[in-house]
Amino acid sequence: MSGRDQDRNREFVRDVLARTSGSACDRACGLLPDLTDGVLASLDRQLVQQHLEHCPGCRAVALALGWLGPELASRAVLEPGPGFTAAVMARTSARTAAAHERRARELAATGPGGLMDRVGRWWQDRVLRPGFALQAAYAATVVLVLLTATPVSPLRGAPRVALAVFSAGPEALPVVNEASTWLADRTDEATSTLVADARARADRAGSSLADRGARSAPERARCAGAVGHALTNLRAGRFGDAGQDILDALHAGRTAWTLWWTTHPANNG
Amino acid sequence: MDKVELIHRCRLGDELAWEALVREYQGRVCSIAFGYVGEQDEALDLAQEIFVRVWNRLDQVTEPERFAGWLTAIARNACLDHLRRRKARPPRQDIPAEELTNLAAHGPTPEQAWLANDRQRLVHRAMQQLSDINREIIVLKDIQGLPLEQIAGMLDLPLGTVKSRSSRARVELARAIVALDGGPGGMGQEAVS
Repeated sequence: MSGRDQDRNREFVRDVLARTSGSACDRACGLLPDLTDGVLASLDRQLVQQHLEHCPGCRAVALALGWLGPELASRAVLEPGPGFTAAVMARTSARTAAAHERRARELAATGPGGLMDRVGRWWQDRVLRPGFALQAAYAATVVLVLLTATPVSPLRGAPRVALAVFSAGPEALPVVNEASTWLADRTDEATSTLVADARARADRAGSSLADRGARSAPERARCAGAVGHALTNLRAGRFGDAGQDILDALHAGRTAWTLWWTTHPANNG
Repeated sequence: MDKVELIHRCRLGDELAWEALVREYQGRVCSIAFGYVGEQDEALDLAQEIFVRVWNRLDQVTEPERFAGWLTAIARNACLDHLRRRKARPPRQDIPAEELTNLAAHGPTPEQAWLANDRQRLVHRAMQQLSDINREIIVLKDIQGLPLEQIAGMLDLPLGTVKSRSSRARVELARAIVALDGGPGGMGQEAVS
């Protein structure tokens, strides 16, 4: 068959397809990957090959698919050059050193030791784990949100008030007053919550609430007094004194807490 | 080298083991990063990030004998994060033509390093014309040679969907090559025939 006859045949088939099923190229191209991989069924293979004989466009795609497979597979490994490994090692060396210290401590540890030793080693193991920083940041974020950003958070509104105080400057006494009022409200809420919680715990433990209250009363009074002084100093603009009062209150509160939870009065000292 | 023992020693902080692990997989990680981002310098920086991420998560390797698949999943996630950040960045300002000439005159370009010949450059250009999902499947299936089952798990798609997409992606890439190469009879075709 001459070239002119072939062209005429090709045009004839294309016209027939255009008036009936549409172009067969999409169907043929859909089967080309299986043809290239050698998994095409016999009849389909013959049909596709026949199509390729008459369609230069699909033939070009088939040829590209033929060399594309090995070409792509040869790109599975791209060596980065001599400095790459050293750069990675430099970026991970700090953590490697920390892990080394942990291993040295593990080797140096002889025997189980006391409870605090074991707790200390466990804590160091946690801290030196590679993912500790991320985990700690995640946990801290969750705690912060729970404390300040939910409708039932004990410190809800704290970020807004803190921002207002910092942005107002020391001369803006009204803002400080608002902050101190807010602090007093939160303190009341927290105290009542703590009392209710402590009462429930004491009931569960079968301990005498009155005894615990009597034991911790002086320190609780000292704590309340320090909080009162702190609020007074805040309102008066004496921020340094107020800070010292808050520290005293924290110290007294911690002591009161310890006394409250000490089961045997003989161990209070 | 026993992979399980190697990873165990990496967890204990053995620098030699970690260096050996990096050397063994750095070519593969660079290839994945290059396949996703398409630029060599960016891919090298990203590959370092991937290894730092791997180091931070070594404790999470539950099956050391399947470390390569785990590493590929980490690399893929890092690449997707990087592409998301890149899309979020404002577009860079155009560089004047004379500065481009100066830039081209210094240091090896990607074409000189990882794209050594015309055919590699042609394939690389065609890859950049693919949709994200098709390029990803080409990277994972045809370049890295991962089994379809693993890719389906990684992309969270049915196996049949991944198989059909893989075929379509290859055809789309071949068509892009033919189009870039000037149609039937181009350089790529001559090289084969």
